[in-house]
Amino acid sequence: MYNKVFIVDDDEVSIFLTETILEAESFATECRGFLDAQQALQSLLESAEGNEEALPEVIFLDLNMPFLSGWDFIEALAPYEEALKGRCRIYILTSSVDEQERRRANSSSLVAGFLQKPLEDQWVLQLKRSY
Amino acid sequence: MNVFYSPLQHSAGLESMRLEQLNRRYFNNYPDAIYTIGMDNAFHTVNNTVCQVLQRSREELVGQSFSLFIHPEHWEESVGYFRAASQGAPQRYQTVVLRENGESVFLDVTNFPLKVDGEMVGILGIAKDITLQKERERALLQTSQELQRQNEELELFRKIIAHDFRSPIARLLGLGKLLQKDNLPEKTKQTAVNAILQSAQQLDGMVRDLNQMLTLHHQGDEPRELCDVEELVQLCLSDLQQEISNAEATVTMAGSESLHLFTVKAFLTSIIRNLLSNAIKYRQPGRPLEVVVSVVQHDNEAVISVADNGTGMDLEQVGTSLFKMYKRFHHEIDGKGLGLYLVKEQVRLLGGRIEVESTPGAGTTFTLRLPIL
Repeated sequence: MYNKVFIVDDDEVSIFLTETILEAESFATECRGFLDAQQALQSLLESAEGNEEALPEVIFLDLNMPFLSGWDFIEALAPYEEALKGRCRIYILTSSVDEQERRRANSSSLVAGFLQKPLEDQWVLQLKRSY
Repeated sequence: MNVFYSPLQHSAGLESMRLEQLNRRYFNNYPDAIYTIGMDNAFHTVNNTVCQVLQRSREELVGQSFSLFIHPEHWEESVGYFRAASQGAPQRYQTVVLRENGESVFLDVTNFPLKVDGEMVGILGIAKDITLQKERERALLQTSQELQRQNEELELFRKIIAHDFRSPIARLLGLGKLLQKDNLPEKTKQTAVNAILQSAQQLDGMVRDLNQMLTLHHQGDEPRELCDVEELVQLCLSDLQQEISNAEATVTMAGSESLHLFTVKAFLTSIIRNLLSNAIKYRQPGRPLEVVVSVVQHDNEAVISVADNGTGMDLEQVGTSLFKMYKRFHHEIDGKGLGLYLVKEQVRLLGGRIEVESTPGAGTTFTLRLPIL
C-alpha cells in the first residue's frame, strides 16, 4: 500500500471516481484530491525543497485544467526532477483521446505513464504491484 | 497603329478619305474603349465603347479632363501613368473609373504616346472592361478564405471531440463501472447516481451548443428586422426569471432612451441572454448580485453593456482565451465554456464588437457595440 497519493483534477466527479476506485483497491493510506492545480504544485514544491519524505509516491494528473494545465504543472516541476526521481511517479490521467498528448507524455521524462479515463481496476492493481 | 493617327491628321485625297471613313467606323465600333487624350489631360476623341463604359455622351466627355472620371482612390496613380505615357513610354495598368450613377468599372488600360511630326501631342489609349474578372477574382478569394476558416474550425471540432466531449463520457463510463461493484456504501452510490445525471446533462448541453454553433456557421445572411433593445432585454429577463430569483439578484435597466436596431433578433437575444446568464453564474458568494443593463446610442452604434458585481476575472491571466471555445476560468462552477464563444461569433455576424472590463472580486462589464442599421 502506498503512503500518499495526489489526485490533481479540476473536475470534482473525476476526483470522487478516482478516490473511490483507489479506496476500493486499498491503494494508499492517504488520498489527497486537488481541484486547484496551483495548490497541488505549491505543496509539491515545498516538499521537493528539502522535505522529500512528504512527497506523494504517486500523482494522478489531469491535463485539461484552467489556469494551470497538466503540461504547465510538469514544466514547473522540471527543475526538481532529481528530487522527484525514484520518490514520486506522475501518471497522466486524462479523458482526452488525442494521440498527440500521449506522444507528448511518452517523451517527457517526468511522466511515468499515460492513462485514459475512466481509471480501470486492472491498471490500479498493476500500479499497486509495482509498489 | 498608324491608322489611328488619322483623326489628328489633315490628309486629303480619295484613297485616304476612304481609309479614314473605314478607320473611323472601326474606331467607333471597336469592342474596347479607345480614346485619345491631349497634353492638357482632356479627351480629344472617344469611341462608342468609352461612352458606354462611362455611361456618358461623347459631348459630355470630349474636352473634359480624363481624371474627372477616375475613381478618387486611383486618381494619383492614373495621373502618374498618364504623365509617363505622355513623356514617351507606353504604359499598361489597371484602374477604376466611376459612372455617373456611382458604379465602379475596372479597366485594363494601355496608353501609347502619340506623336505628330516627332512632337508629343498626347496619348492613344485602349481600355478593356475587366469588372467581371475582378468580381470573379474577389469571389474566389472570398471562397478560399471561407474554406480556410472552415478548415481551422474543423481542426477545432476535432479537438473538442477528442478533449471535451470525451470528458463527460469518461465520467459516465467510470460511474457506471463503479455502480456495478458490490458492497458500495450507500452514500457513494447516491453520489455516483447524482454525478451520472449531472454528466449526462452536461453532455446534452454540449451537444445542443455544438449544434447551435454549427447552425450559426451556415447563417450570416439572416433576415434583419427592427428590434426594440429594451423589449429584448425584458424578454431575456423573463426567460431567466427562475435563475434570477434563485440568485436573489437585482437587475436594473439604465439609459432611458428607447433604442431600435435593425438586426437579427435571434442573435441579439442570444447575446444578451448569455451575458445575463454569465453574470448570474459568476456572482460573488455572500454578496447580493446586482446587474445593470444599459442601452445608449453613440453615433451610429447601439452601445449595450451588462455590468455585474460578481467574482470578476484577472484579464491579464485570462488573456485572449476568454472568448474561445471550452475555456473555463472559474473553479467549481458548472460552465460548458461555449457561451462567450457563441456571443463573440454572433457579434461578429452582426458586424459589431464586444469588449470586457473586469476586476477580480469586484465585477465584470461586457460592452457590446452594434451598428444601428
